[in-house]
Amino acid sequence: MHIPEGYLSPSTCLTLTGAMLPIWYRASAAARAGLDAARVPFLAMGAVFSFLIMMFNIPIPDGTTAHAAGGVLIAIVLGPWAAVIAVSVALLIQALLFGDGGVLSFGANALNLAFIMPFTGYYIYRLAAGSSPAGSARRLFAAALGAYIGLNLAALATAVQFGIQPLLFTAADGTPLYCPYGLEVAIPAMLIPHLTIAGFAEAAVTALALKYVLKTSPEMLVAARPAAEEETSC
Amino acid sequence: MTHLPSWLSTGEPSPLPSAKRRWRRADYLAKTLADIQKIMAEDMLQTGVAARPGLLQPIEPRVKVVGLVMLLLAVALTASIPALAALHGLLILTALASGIGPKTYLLRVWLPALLFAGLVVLPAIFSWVTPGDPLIFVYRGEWRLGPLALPADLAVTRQGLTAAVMVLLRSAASLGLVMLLVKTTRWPALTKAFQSLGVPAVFVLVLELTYRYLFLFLLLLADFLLGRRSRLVGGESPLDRLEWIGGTLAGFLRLAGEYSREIAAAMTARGFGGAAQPAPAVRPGPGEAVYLAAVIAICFILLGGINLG
Repeated sequence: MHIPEGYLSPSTCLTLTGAMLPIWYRASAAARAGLDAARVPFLAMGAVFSFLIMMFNIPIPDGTTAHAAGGVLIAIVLGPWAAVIAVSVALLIQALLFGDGGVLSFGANALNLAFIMPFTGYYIYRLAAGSSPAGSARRLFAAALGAYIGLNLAALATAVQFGIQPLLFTAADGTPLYCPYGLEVAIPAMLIPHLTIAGFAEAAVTALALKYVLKTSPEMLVAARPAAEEETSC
Repeated sequence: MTHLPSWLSTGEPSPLPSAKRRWRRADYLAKTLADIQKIMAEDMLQTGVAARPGLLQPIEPRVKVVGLVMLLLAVALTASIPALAALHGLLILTALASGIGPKTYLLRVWLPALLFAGLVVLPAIFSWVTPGDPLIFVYRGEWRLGPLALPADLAVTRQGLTAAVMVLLRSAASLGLVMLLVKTTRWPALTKAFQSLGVPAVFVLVLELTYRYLFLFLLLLADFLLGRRSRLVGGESPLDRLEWIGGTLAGFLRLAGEYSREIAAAMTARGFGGAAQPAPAVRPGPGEAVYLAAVIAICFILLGGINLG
């Protein structure tokens, strides 16, 4: 789902990066509020963990593999603001060091994967989990639901960003200047694989990882979260 | 004559039992291990190239970052295919002068560009996706597949081909530009450059620590995957695989939490109080001036200042 360079116009990239600026500011303000020696490694280890999740090849039923995004799992365990920084840093390292996702389109990728996915997934999780006990089937189902919907909303946002390019940026002779696929192609092309395969893989991995976290180290969901994010804790 | 058992008296070896699978099993462990090895190799290459003498290595990192952003914007804004093609020639020459071989350049720039950008934009060359002036007809007239009637003509259009080539060239040029910056600059110098260009200190600190511990965790994950792979004799059910991945992620999350506390204790013991160290002030010299002049000239050409076609 990482948007490479060349698919989005510079103005789209700048607009989406502009949309991310207040989100990064709020996330780093939350970090600065408790910027002590414990906070920086906490966020860095979150970013390392985000990178590791994205590294994993998840087997899917068609016999191939897919990559998990992990934004919702990180938001559930570390909090949604910490997830913004952790996933953004992982995306930046991927873009710079491994060419996975563009540098100009980093803001767009961060908006989709570091904001839309963790925030929507996290609040759906909280809503669906209610006050159910830790480790209950309802809480795990809520995590899976949050991951499924969060990933698909991120995929929808990516598809819309692709799909509006030919509407906005086409030469006089009809040559599309950036992504050539309109909304009628981009939305089904992005959503069909995510709704039918990738979303379920993400949901299963999120729920199972959360099951083991709650079983082996339940303190991580509370103790690992500094005071700045207690207001949004589950 | 001794009686041989029937299986020993036959000339043909007995066939080994074969597993019947409904789906081809994807070796997710091998794939993840290969990805980790690729990342490790990439990092080793980067460390080696950044330490070598070369054209871009001595340029001050801040100036390189500013130049990269200018070039990325110019590449994204240009609609000239000849200018983009000329830029690719220049990028290959710069890579060679900076100690990056042609094979490395092709593998890291053109292979991913063709695989990801090229394949994705391929359908856009056809008239069904991008209508326009036909160049080559795949078929003409109505084509029926049973009850399905395909549109009257299918052709490769000039507009579709132009759009696809432009996306491919832009994508490859951007990959090449980023690779040249990252491979010729040490990571700590690059993050300090980000900081001096206004990126919040908290991001830079997190970025530095993430990079430092990322490779340690990747090594641990590789050991973990290898251990699992070595112990797997029979097949795994799809649920078993997902259970194992979930358990592994939870284990690594716990490990990351433990490391976070240990690193914090070590940083406190060394006097860290939460403030990031400012980047050392370096005065740009003539090399930086030449670099920026070249960047401005390239941007001028890319944006149509000089018409290459």
